[in-house]
Amino acid sequence: MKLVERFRLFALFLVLLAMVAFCVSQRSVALLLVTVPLAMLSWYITEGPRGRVLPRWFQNGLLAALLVWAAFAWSALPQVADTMGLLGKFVQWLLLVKLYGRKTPRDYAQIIALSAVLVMAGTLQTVEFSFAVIVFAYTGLALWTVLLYQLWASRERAREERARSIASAREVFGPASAATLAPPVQAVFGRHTTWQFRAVAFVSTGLGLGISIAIFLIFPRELSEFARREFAFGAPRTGFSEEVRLLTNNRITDSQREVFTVTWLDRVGEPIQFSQPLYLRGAVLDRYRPGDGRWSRPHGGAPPRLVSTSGPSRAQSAVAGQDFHSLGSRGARIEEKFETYVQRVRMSSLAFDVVFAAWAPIAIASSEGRTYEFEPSSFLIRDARLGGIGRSSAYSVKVQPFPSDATLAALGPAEPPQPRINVTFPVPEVDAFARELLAELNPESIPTAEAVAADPQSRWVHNRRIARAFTEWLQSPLFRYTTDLGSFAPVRDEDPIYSFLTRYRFGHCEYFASALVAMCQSLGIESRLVTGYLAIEYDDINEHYVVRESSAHAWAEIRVGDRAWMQLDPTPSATIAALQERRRSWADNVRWIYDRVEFLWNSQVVTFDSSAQATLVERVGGAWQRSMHDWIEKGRERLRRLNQFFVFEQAGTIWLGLVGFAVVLAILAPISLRRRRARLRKAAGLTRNDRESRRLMRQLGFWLDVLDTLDRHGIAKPTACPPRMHGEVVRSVSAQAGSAFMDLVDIYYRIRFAGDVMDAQRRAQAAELVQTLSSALTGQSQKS
Amino acid sequence: MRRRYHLHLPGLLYVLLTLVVGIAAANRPNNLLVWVFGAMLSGVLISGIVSGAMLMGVRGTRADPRRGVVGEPMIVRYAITNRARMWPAFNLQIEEMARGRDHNGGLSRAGQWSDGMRPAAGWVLHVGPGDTVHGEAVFFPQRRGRFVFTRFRVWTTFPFGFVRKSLSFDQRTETLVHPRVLALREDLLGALTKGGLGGFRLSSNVGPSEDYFGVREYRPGDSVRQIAWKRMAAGQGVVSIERSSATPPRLRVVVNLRTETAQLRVAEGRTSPREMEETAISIAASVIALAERQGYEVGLTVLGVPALRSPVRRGHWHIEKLMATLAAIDLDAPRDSEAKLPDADRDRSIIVAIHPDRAVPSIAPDGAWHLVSTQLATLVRQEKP
Repeated sequence: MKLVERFRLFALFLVLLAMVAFCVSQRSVALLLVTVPLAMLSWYITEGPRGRVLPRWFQNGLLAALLVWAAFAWSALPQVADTMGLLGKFVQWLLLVKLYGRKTPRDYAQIIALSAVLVMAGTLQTVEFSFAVIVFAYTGLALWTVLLYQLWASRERAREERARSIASAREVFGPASAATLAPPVQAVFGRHTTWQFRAVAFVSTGLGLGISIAIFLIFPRELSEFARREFAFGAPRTGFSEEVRLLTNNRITDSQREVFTVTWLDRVGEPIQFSQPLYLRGAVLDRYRPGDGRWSRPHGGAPPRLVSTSGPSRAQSAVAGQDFHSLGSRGARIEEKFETYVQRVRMSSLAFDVVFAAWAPIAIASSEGRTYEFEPSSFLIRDARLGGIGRSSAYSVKVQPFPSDATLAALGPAEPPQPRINVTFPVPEVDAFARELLAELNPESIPTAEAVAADPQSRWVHNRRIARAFTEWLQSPLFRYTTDLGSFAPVRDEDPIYSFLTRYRFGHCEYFASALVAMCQSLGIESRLVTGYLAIEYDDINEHYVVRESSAHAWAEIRVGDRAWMQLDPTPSATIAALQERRRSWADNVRWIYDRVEFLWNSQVVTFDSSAQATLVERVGGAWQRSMHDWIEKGRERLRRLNQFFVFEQAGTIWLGLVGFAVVLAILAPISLRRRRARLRKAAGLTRNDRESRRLMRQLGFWLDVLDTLDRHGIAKPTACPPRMHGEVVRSVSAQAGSAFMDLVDIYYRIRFAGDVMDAQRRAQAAELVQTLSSALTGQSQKS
Repeated sequence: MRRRYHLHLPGLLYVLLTLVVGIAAANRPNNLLVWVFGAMLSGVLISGIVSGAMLMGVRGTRADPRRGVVGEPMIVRYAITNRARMWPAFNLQIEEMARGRDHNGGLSRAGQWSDGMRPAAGWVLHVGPGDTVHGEAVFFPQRRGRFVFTRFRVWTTFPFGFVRKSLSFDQRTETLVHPRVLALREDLLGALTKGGLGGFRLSSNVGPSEDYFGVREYRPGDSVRQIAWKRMAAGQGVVSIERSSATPPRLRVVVNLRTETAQLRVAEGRTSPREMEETAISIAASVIALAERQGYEVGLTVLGVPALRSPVRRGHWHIEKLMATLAAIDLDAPRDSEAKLPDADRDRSIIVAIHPDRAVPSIAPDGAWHLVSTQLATLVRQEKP
């Protein structure tokens, strides 16, 4: 049967899909190119014309070698978290070994289970859209494969069992005995087997999908901030990082995948290309931990301000019809007469909580009503994820690149933060180096506390000058920009920033920015590291900036006023410009479709958390309640009008209820009666619809009860079997039941064929006999 | 009819794995893992729904198995009906259950089928809604006698193999397993009947033999050799002689079971007394089969146990009766050590007496052939290596 024969092919595809999924999760092209072709080759070798398989002892030897390799590899793992990756590789090679061996039903069960383990290992490593597509495909294919496996394995087991029986009989009765003439096992099936199998598979798939969605929506989850940061599953790898770890980010991503686009609009709403690259801020870090070279966010600061947007506006506004909501404190007015631009961001593939905005954002609008958190101390904006499901796909921010003090005052905390006098950097070597360098570069010294007290503004001037000097020094040919730090080996007991400044003098933007901030902090200058994206590539055709994963960047901000901060980018600008030059290729023309779908995946599924659940429950529950309420009200209104029409007054509702119930009964009763008549006609063999048949139908109702009783107790009378012959079967189960049944058969024959009439006495007798039959059969089944 | 649900080892492992994945999904903020958990859990639910719906409308009936023969496959067929309107049933296994009692509340004289044969199962790939298909299980009986099938079970692990659902049906069926028919030497009966009482006699039918049957009127076309010249000379006109048909040789098999099993003499190194008796019965069945194949008329007499006496006849159904008689011999019944061969059985036919342990010539008239079960090796046809 072809349906069953397809199982092995399905199993192969399942394994291939699992292998591809794991390789995608590991981003290992080498593993993909080696294992998948080998797996495909196994089909030709084992199932081909010659059908060769590895002997069992050889397979066991390979398995032992695999185990040894896995043990060594595990002991050499840099992190315990990489165990799942190692397990996946082990399982992948193990699958290959099994594919080349003999495959019994048990082997196939193991292969299917191993493929599931492989996919599971990949699931613990990544949540990328491409991987998810493969997992969904795998799940659907696995369902079909397991269904086919049940059929194929049963057939194989039946054949094995038959062969064993024949062999056993030959042992007992001799090799030439007639036992060898046993018929072969053949598949017994009805009509439309393949079609019905597909129907069952589709229904199961649909049910599975529905149940999976339901479980996904109601599964309890708490996506804590810690978990989000530590496991980073809420934020897929994008190049942008809210934390900087100098020792682990050995290679910055150079992926050209489009993250989002930025349209820069002037005051009249025309898209323009700004005179400078756009520094889109995502995170601000100012605390450095020397032990692991890690920059983290500042603690404390003013509490974030919540700003809620209302979605797209119907009013014809100068800027894309959106209502902007001020980020300033309540009551604070922000003037827009200075250079004010609108930065419109449209997400392409990845979903963020962070709102990337240039300095300084003053108002925000979004494509749907959302709530944002605005940090007055750092001017960072983040989606608060209150009342929304998924991530926003588009937002607009009004920015003023050169804000006035009044604007900064409106945006910042109520009281300007006091200048920090005792700013230090925790690495003394960097401190010493910075002072030496300052002495070498800039004859101006650091102002003393008395000088600052006498002229507070001088401090900011000195900050500006010193920071610029350091920036120019870092941008000099002494330093080389590169994203590959393979040769940047950490030196024991030496801070990586110090190593960068003195020993290696090459690195990526994070090192440059870290060096600048470290040196400034060493000299008591308030400075901070900023990460985000740098938008340089401008698409003239679509009139927007294209921001790619490789556009992730880090720079520094120096405090140059009570609330003012100055952006400085120590990374050589020429190098950046060369790297960020226009990279649009033909793939971008088609990739946008994939990016849109991936964005939906990331925003709606990957980051679906407890707050989104709560919002969904609120929306769906609210809508459901409102809908139910409306229906009930409508029903009541109609009932009231009906009551009024018929002038039923107080008891009218009860009367109407009774009438409604009677109507329902009147509809259902004839249907039930009709079905019963059809069954009786079939059971009694009454094919014609004449007067005699109708008379018999009225009298033979008890016979249907008899047949139902037999059916309930598992001894249904076959249609082709005469009642009297079936009596033997009933008698074999229970003598009392057999006797009652034969009496009923007599009555049936008399009425059906002899023309007797079913009078009241006979009717009572028949009812009693049916009762006796049922009791006897029930008692017999309980006894056994 | 009884329904049962069993969660066996693969299902248990799957459920445990699902729980582990669920715990992992709850601890790690990985929504894809939540999807995987949902898919695994839906597998468990679907398994219960689909399999329950599938078996809901299934009904089974065992067809009356024909008689079996020891050493030959005995096919038992089952009619599986799916009374559901929409839901098909897949992957149904049918197996007999060894327990169960008859309607008298105790074991009847017939033993359970499991006493005489290994279990065998039937398999049905698919039964559509409203369809009836016939599955079969092949048994290999190892003992002769009456066996009863009381209950059989239809079960399935479809769709995913986590849970096994079964339906059991009570249906009593008795079957008779004939004794084993061995391949005896083809010249055996010829050696036995050569020169002895061949049982040849005149047949009451017209035929091609040489024996005189009668005369009739000459018909054009009759051979000249058939004309009765002497009658013609006597003035009776032209008449032809009719010959009678040849009668097959007659053979009666006598099985000597007068001695109690425990009193049989067993030679050292030989099989048990009961097996010797069974071997004797098998030899008797084999002789009957050989005789029937070679055109003999065969009869059977069993001495020592109550058994039907059969006349010497030919024909398929007659042989079936003889085999059924041999199959129904109850060796546990009390023996009649004084049983004698009835005179009617001493009619003109070759008598072959078969004894379990040693020949007792007195049970048969002179000229009878006596075979002993220990001679089996010399009686069977030797297979070429």
